[in-house]
Amino acid sequence: MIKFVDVHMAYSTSTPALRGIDLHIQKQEFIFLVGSTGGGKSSLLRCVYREIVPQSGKVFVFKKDLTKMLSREIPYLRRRIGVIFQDFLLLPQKTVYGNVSYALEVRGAPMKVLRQRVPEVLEWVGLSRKLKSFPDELSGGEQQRVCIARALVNKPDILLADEPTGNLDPETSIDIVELLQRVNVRGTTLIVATHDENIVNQFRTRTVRLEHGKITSDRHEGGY
Amino acid sequence: MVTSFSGIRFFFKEFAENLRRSPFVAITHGLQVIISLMVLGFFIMLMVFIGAFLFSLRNMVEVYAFLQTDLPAERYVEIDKMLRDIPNVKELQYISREDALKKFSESYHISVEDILEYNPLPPTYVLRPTDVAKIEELALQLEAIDGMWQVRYGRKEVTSLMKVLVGVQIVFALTMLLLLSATFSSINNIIGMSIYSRRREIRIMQLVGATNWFIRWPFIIEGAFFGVLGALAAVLIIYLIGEAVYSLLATLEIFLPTIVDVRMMFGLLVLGTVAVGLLIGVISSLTASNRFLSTEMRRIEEMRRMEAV
Repeated sequence: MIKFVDVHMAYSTSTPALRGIDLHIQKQEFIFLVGSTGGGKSSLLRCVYREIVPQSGKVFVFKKDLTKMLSREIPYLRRRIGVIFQDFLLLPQKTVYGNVSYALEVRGAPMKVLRQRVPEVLEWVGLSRKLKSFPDELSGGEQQRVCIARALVNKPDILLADEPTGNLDPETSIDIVELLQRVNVRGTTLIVATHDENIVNQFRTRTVRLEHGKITSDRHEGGY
Repeated sequence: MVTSFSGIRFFFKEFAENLRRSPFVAITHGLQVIISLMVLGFFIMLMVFIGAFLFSLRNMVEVYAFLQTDLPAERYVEIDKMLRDIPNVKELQYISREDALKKFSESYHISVEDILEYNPLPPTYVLRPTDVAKIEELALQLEAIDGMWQVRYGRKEVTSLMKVLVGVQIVFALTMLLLLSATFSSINNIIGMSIYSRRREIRIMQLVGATNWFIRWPFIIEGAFFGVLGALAAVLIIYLIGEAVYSLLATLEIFLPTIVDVRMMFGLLVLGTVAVGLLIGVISSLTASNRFLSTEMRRIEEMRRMEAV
């Protein structure tokens, strides 16, 4: 489903973000990307949803070479990929419902679909009673659930989570990753970039370690 | 591009959200657009008035062709035919020797025939050229006719008028360009600020797969809104000021010569200003949104900085 072939990427000439990345991710896999800050985890994720293009090498997603993808094709790629961030990236002036429905609205989805799909996904993430709340009225864990709901409302094939538990306490972090795991069980390929040791050790799934832009280990059911 | 009713509804909702979010900025910039378009509107009015005045002057340019007095009758007939066949002539008037003498006597209250005992005035043709710029060519053509005594057309005045016309056209064109640029830049700034204040939404839109056209539309609507609203407000102000000036002049018993049909001109001004406002609004918002969307790398850099903070 996702394939990196000898990918090199640098934001400036002095600091390479990715160096010779070779990685193959199967459909419905659950992967942790670990490593120190600046190791290249976020850059790798950005390559998957085509926010950045590597200087050399190839990135294949859904069998499409993203390095050759035209700008006008990117939105259609992203409709199949959900992204979650550490800072939630929610719209403070919109309610929970508004934030989630926004992801459907910007694709021109009809009202009927919005009315059906949004409450459904919010119930699934456990926020059915918070439809009318605003982000600043929610806890960190709840805000991250809204993000997950927004990412899931389009029924993506791949879900990317960049430090999803970075702003959360350990207990809430476990809840969030359990929720993500449920998403994975339903058939979505899941990649979680984190440096949360507890989580990685608890969930014991494929773990790829990135240091200074290079993959230093790739272990199935590996810990931190 | 736009595919569904829900898409259009979304654009207008987003546009309303843009206005709601920064009403002060919207009002300030809206005023800027109104002022620019109002000055532009006034300028167009002035331009039409001066243009019409100069055009009426152009229409007054005449060439006097005086014939010799001692030609045989058949030659006069030939010359008359030749003159009527010249292409660059809009109007041709023949003044016989008798009419010329009568006119002269009436104008100067002198009986020339009583003094000189003969009529010294030649038969005359008054020609109005179609194209004033080619008046010299016409004069030369007339002078070349056998039997022509003299051709007069106020060479100096016509040359000066042509220079003034060209000069006025250049000044108008430059000033219009300047005013259009000012309006363009006002709307461009509004949209630029609007986009900047909504960069978080745009980022989310991009992440969830909105096409660039979908992102642009609310801003295009916003630009068109400011352009059209600014134009309507501008023409309303022009109308009110125009009415006030006319009333004042009427009170003072000053009546302006009717050079143009003011009602028709105002109608055209409304249409023209609204069309210009709409066009500038759409183009400037397209430019602003394109600039934002095309600076992908800069946006990523900014995002990285935001994340670092």
